Amino acid sequence: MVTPVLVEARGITKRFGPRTVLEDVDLDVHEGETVVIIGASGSGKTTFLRCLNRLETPETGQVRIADVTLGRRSDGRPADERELSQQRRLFGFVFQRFNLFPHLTAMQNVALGPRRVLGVRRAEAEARAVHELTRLGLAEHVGKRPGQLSGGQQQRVAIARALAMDPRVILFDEPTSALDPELVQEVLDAMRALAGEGMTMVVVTHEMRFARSVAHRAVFMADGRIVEQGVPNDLFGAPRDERLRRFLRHLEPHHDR
Amino acid sequence: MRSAWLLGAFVALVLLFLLGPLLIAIAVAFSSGERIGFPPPGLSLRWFADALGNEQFRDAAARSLWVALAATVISVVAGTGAAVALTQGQGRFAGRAWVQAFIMLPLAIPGIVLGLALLPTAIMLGLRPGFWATVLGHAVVGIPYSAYLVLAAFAQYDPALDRASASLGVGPWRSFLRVTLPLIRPGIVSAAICTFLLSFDNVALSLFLSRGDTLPLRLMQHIQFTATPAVAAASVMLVLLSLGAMLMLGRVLRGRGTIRIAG
Repeated sequence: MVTPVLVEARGITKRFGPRTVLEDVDLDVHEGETVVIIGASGSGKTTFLRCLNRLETPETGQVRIADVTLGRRSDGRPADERELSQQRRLFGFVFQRFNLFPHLTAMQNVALGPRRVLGVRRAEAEARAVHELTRLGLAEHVGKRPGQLSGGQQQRVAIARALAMDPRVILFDEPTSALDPELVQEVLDAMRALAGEGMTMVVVTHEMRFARSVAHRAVFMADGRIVEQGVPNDLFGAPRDERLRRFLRHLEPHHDR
Repeated sequence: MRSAWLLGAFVALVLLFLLGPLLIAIAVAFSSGERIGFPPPGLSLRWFADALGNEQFRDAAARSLWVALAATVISVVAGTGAAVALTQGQGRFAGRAWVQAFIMLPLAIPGIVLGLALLPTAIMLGLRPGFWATVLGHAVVGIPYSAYLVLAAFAQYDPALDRASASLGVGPWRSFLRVTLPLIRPGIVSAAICTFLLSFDNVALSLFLSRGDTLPLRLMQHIQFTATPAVAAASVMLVLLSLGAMLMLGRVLRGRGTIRIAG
């Protein structure tokens, strides 16, 4: 991509106890780019995504987004919890299991961030929520609670909730893995539309067709490192690394949609 | 057919065993006679009027109400805090099961023994028997109850919601207020109701820690020295109060308690 770099991750290392989950991972994401991260379970994809917006704190390494270094103030000193919360909202995050607030309606789920974090007035926050939900085709579901919605609808509410905070990047953590097969497409369509509008996205997924048709770049992770990356068609068509070849062989018959 | 009849008879006997004495107390409360006795010579509401007009009963009821309210606030706040510490964030520390068992310990100790131990403790701390000694004594039992009920509510709580809040830039405190608290509210409300009832009809601890001026103690003194049906009338009103609270508790546990985590 010829656009400027928006997110720059450098030397991210993460350990859980004695286990090293991520080892010295670098990644640049350009403005408007869609990057897909693939890899076997346990390869560190999800942890890496969570390190990007500091849902997990890496042992070493830094993430910069625009001119902000996560966890640091502009004068270089460590940020406190409040400042970190402020920085974190530059990233939207869509979870595998939606993680909607079960006691709130779809609209309240989407309006919570703008109201409580951005300090937007209630009427305005709700208008914004309805706008985002409508954009995702959920206009008639604004008053429903998560329990009354299908998995695909819940995930689209979750995307609307991320969008309402006006993030610079959206991180997707296997957004279709928890869905029944017939509900996968509506979520992928929503993501495809977002990418088409120029949203910067990092997507951990097993959806190879989506990766091929939407992503600008695919990144393969194994054993806590980025092993190979490139244009999706090259990466999937002519994999060089043996682990990637094995991964693609195992994946294709089950997951290609 | 036959076994259904037997079951019915059995249930009737159990109910009679459980509620029979209560029915006698209720009958006595409506007595027109001067003394506690069964069957009552006639029916009247005079002892309800007498109980409501009895200044000692009224003062004791007010005192018990304030004691129970204060004990409830302390217990629910501390119990919720304990439950949060045991389950949330860094809650999975080593020895967590021991700490939890330790918090529950007061429930395993007979009230009389606890009272006997708390009185010298209170005095050692410069607290004479009275309002605050009673409140704190009741809280010793109320806190484990509250912690237990709120812990049960947390068992249904999905910690991934905290990550969802964080991903929106909602800080931990605000997330606790807006997301966690509404979701564990059924546990907190049942903790409050249970603790209130526990305190309101407590005898064993109040015996040591109050100045003999809570409602259950006043009723006991009344039975020992005067024993008019007024005490039965007061008891009937207390039973109604407890019944109301239990109904509320049932509603809380059935209604809002059944929220399922999305997914």
